[in-house]
Amino acid sequence: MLVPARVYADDALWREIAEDHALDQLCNVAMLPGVEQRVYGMPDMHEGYGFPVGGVAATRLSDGVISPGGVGYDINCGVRLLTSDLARASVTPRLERLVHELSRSIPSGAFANPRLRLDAAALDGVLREGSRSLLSRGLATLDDLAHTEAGGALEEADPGAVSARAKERGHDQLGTIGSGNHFVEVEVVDEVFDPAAAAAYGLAEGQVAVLIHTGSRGLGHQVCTDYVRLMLGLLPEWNIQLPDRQLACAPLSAPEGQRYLAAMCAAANFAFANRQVITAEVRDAFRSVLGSAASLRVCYDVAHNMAKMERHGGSELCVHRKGATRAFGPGHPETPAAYRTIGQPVFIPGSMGTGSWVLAGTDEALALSFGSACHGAGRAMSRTAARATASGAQVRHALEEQGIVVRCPSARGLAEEAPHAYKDVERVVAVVHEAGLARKVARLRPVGVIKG
Amino acid sequence: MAFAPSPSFEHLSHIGEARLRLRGASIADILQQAALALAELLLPGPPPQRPERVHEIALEADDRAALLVDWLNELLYLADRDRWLPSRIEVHEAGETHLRATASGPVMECAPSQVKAATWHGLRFDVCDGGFEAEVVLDI
Repeated sequence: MLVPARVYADDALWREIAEDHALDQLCNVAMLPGVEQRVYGMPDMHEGYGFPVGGVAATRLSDGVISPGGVGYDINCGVRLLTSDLARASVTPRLERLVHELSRSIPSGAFANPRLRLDAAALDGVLREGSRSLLSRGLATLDDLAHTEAGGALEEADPGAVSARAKERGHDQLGTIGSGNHFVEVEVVDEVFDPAAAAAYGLAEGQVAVLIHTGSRGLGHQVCTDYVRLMLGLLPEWNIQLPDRQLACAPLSAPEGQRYLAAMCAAANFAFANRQVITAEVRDAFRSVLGSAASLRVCYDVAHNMAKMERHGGSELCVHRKGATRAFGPGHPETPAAYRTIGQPVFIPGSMGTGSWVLAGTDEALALSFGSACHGAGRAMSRTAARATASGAQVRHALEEQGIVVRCPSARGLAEEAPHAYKDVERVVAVVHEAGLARKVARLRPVGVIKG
Repeated sequence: MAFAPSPSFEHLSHIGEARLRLRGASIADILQQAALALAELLLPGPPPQRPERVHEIALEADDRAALLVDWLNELLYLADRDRWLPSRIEVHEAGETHLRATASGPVMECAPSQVKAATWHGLRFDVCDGGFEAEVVLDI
């Protein structure tokens, strides 16, 4: 190891983390060339491939590398929160219809979007400009962009660095959730812990909100596949030896490293635009079911699979967050103007049946974790074990017993994503709060779930 | 005297992804089993009766482990692009660094893309017991 590793956990989470190979993987990450200071494991950390899920590592621009494996196949998988002025009581009588309308209008599973097939020029526009490219289509507003990480468009993006294969996969996938743990959820603000921050984020107890969790779909998967393959072949030329081939990387100073950064940013822009198109569909569904006054604002949109060029302690670093989210505090220049006195919103989705959390980033997190916090509850059980524990029908029934309306195209997918397959989100959030990575603002409770 | 193992695949434990163990008497066996395991992950149960699509696939790689990853990622790309399930596989020729195969199966209403990619993590493709054994992790 070139630098030490630090894991944020309590005793119970530590025991869960130590059960799989996540710690070995974090130690492997600490061997990346040019790795700076320390690598970090978040309290939701579990075994992944290459990087652990919930791993953070920064590499120096001067002599460090960028690793597609440190970003993952779902580039800019992330979470967006929409807030409303609607009270739960006004939505409950029409909740079934609302969830039905959402599931009808937002393609889930691996369906393509029949209403938004992009030609080559339009797709390049999305890759270059992200959510900004949707302004002219009436699918985004300037206010939406102001409340999205990086304004929903990473400037380093170059559509020319994205392969024809990746574009073939992405051209009809904008505005789709995908499968696995992706979702759109209707939430109710269950409890507020920091009234001032909640007010700034537009959250009040009993109010309805929407969480969107998805990423860059097949386009992002192909970008990662392409560049891992390319870099593996060039490692001997760069004299880089790795403990795990999935950590394939390129020097940030090499043309291949810069080209991956440009392709990753383009895929990230696709993901921002994906969540933006879904936002437009959610708004339409709310207006259709609840009336034209049912408006939704973007609270924030944050990535949790990304490599970002950032300045820390006077050094220019490439911060890899694999299953970890930014948690910048009030003093950071990249915190949106509206949240400069509070800190950026951090979203920690739980699972379908448990609460999700809104937290606020802290200035202290810069020194504690390169300004990072966890991204979810983290899996505690394999998909196979989850399926063996409860069927999709049983999971659906249990959620309905809690008053949660569920739509999911796959019974197997529902079983694999059952609430009991995840760590205790309350415990994970408590560690984040106590460690000072981010502080509690509000807890959300799902009332409607559309699973991918 | 070692007997070549019968072609087979099994799912090993992985908390977040899918880890496959593949066995066979030849490299072709391993590649075929990998494709069948992938198809089962993409869509469990018998493939639906729908119009079929056939892909002729030829690949070259640096070694047999790389060939395994490239093969699975090629199938995933085609499955996502064409909304296609690679349910029947015929490996015509496979060596340490090359593969020629025919993959066919139904074209679906939606792409069966529960699997994002085949990864290089924990990848092995070993000679053992008169045959071959491989492991590969798929990103779900």
